[in-house]
Amino acid sequence: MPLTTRRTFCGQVALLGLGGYAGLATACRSRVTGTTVAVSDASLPALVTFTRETFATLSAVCERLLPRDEDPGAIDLGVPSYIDRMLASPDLASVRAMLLRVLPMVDREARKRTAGKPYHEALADEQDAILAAWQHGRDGGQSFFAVILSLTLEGAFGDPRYGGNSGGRGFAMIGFTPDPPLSKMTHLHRSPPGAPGGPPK
Amino acid sequence: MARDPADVVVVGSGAGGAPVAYALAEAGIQVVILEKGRRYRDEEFDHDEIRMCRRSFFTPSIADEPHTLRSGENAKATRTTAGWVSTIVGGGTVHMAGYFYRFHPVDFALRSTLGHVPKASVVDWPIRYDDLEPFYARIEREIGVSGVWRAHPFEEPRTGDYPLPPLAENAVAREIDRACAALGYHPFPTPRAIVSREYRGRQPCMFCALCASYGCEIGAKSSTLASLIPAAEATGHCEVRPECMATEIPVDASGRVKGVVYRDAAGQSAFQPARCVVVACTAIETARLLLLSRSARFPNGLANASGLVGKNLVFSGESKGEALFERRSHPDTEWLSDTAPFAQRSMQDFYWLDQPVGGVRKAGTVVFALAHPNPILAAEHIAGSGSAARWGLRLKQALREEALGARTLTFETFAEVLPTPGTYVDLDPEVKDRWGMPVARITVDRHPLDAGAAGFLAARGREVLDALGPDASRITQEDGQDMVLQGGTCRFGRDPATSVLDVDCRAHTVPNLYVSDSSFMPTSGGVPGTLTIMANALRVGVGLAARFKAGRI
Ligand SMILES: Cc1cc2nc3c(=O)[nH]c(=O)nc-3n(C[C@H](O)[C@H](O)[C@H](O)COP(=O)(O)OP(=O)(O)OC[C@H]3O[C@@H](n4cnc5c(N)ncnc54)[C@H](O)[C@@H]3O)c2cc1C
Ligand code: SF4
Repeated sequence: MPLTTRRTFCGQVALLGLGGYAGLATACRSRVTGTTVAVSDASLPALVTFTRETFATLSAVCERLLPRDEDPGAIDLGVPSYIDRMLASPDLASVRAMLLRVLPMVDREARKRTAGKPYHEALADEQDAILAAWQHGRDGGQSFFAVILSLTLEGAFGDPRYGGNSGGRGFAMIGFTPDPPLSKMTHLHRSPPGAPGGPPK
Repeated sequence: MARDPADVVVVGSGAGGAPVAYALAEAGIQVVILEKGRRYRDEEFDHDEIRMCRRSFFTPSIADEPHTLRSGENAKATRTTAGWVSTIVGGGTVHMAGYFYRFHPVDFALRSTLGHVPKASVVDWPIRYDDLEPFYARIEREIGVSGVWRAHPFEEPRTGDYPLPPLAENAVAREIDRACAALGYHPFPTPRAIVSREYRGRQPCMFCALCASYGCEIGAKSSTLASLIPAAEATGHCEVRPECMATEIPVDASGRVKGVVYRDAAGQSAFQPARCVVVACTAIETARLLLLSRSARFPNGLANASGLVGKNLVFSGESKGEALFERRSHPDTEWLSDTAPFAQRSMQDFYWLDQPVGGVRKAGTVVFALAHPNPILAAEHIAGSGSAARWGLRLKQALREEALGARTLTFETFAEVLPTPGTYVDLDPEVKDRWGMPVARITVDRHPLDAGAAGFLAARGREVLDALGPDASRITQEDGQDMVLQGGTCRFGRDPATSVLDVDCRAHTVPNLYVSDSSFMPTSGGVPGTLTIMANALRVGVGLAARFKAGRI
């Protein structure tokens, strides 16, 4: 196969912008669909994509992927709400549909194994065993697993404007210092205000 | 809606389109640029990884406008986002890394240097390096390129210095210099399309954490949006029409193009008449537009009497590797705590191999860079993928160790990819875009020699990384192709039977049609080609302006 493995992988998952370690010092080649929406907004209802029940499953899954230890975990960072809001973007409709289908399956699986306990109340080991089964490819689960892991990392290490990475604590965990808004620091403008390409009047 | 005729319509505002528009407008010729993408003001760019890198900010979504891709003619083509560069005013120059090397003289004469290469359609260019040199020099000045003249023995012949001094570099540059000196290699500061000082009213680079893959909100990156487009507009002879997608280039009874049919920002079909049309939509999309423009005169697509439109597609050969340096095993290593973002070193010792290695005579360029600091991407990289992905406490531990406790230095290589008859663009027979137009189908059939060049360069890159004493190193990609670096679908040449364009990049069979993006390049070269696209486009624009002045259009 002549084209890069990483991109082939992205092609298969083809749901999120699983950005390849791409060339030219760049960082995003295979993206998925559409524009971003859902900048955090206090007026949004508490949940926009998931029911309370599915949200509980989602939260527990994210927390297992990125558990709290001496550093904050997924729930501390606001990852589940990030995912809930992000999936309201029409461009991520196929991801939303997939998660709405698979998360209840994950929960049913837990209830079967634990004589009735929902996923979010199962023991950590049981939760992990269920996730591991998805990771290793049950029912096309690799794609569920890859997507939920990517979304969790987006929610933990993405721009806090979307409601995840709360307080920039995800950035702090990995030692990343975000760039300040440069345009505010500009002292020169190449085009006069109002001109095409220039600053607004 | 019909419009007043323009002298020239340029389709596409990126590396291939803007220099032509600038040269024409400067000569007083009325130009309209039709550009499919939106126009952004500088301050609308930000460094939000989710918005810029992980959704379809720069390129169409796979649902609206896919490409399709197959490996060989017998494979089934599948939908992909690969092969898009950027759909925005300024094209791919807006969010590029801006590694801005010139081609070397050998790149213009590959056939006569290599001789016949079986199973490859290698040809010489109809111009020489010396023909392009003045345009390289001028375009470097017009847009602002920084670098160091005479920094290494393998440099291409230049008639003058760079217009700007090199960008400030991370302390790792000195380490690379030391390692290379011990190996007998000759690293040099990477030339960049980023202004290192205030330049023509533009602010100098502020050395962000994130640059490549992002637009620059202060115009320090030398995109056409920051340089040539405002300069062309300032003449009063150039109008940029964003969100206008060309859909067809119709011809009159005599076989001359009449103008361009496009879908405007409101989604309405419109027509812009013109005396001359210049197409610069990227090698893949230019081929698509010409193939979509069928007429009684050109039943197989505009300018395609030879059947060569879309053929001889080339990308740049690409391999990559990385090395991890843990802080605890390198307590005295200064660069590990240097926050300067650019490693700024390249190597061209193996551009041309005097002694062929495994059949390879021409390799290319190695560039070193600090790992891209995109936080989500870095976390994904540390997590890994598939069955091997790490998660839970193991992932958190790994994140702390690798992101906080270590730094990664990478290399990337650009090698010749030999053109083959089996690598081309045509119209997909089934898949259509959201508006019902057939999409471009990309068929790839790699030449067996490509792997040798990429692998040889990868081994050299890794050798240098290993000489720096990392805790671990690996080659992450042996033999890939970088599909944002395209060329070849409308070769220029002297013979209408073997090329689509003449030496001036005018269609052999359509006297008022030009193509000025990477499509003209018959071979890929051993560097990323954008500076060459721009220099050539300036040459085309200057030639076309002269033709106008002489009343020959
Ligand atoms: C992330 C990234 C990093 C890169 N880094 C480097 C680098 O470091 N060095 C380097 O040399 N190169 C780099 N490149 C490659 C560089 O961007 C391309 O080589 C260059 O932009 C190609 O020039 P072009 O004119 O062919 O296409 P573009 O510059 O992409 O311009 C084509 C334009 O045509 C428009 N268009 C397409 N179809 C239509 C239509 N039907 N109607 C109207 N308009 C249309 C597009 O929207 C686009 O604006 C990078 C590319 C990317 C994506
Ligand atoms: S200021 Fe410099 S580092 Fe920042 S985006 Fe612009 S060119 Fe890149």
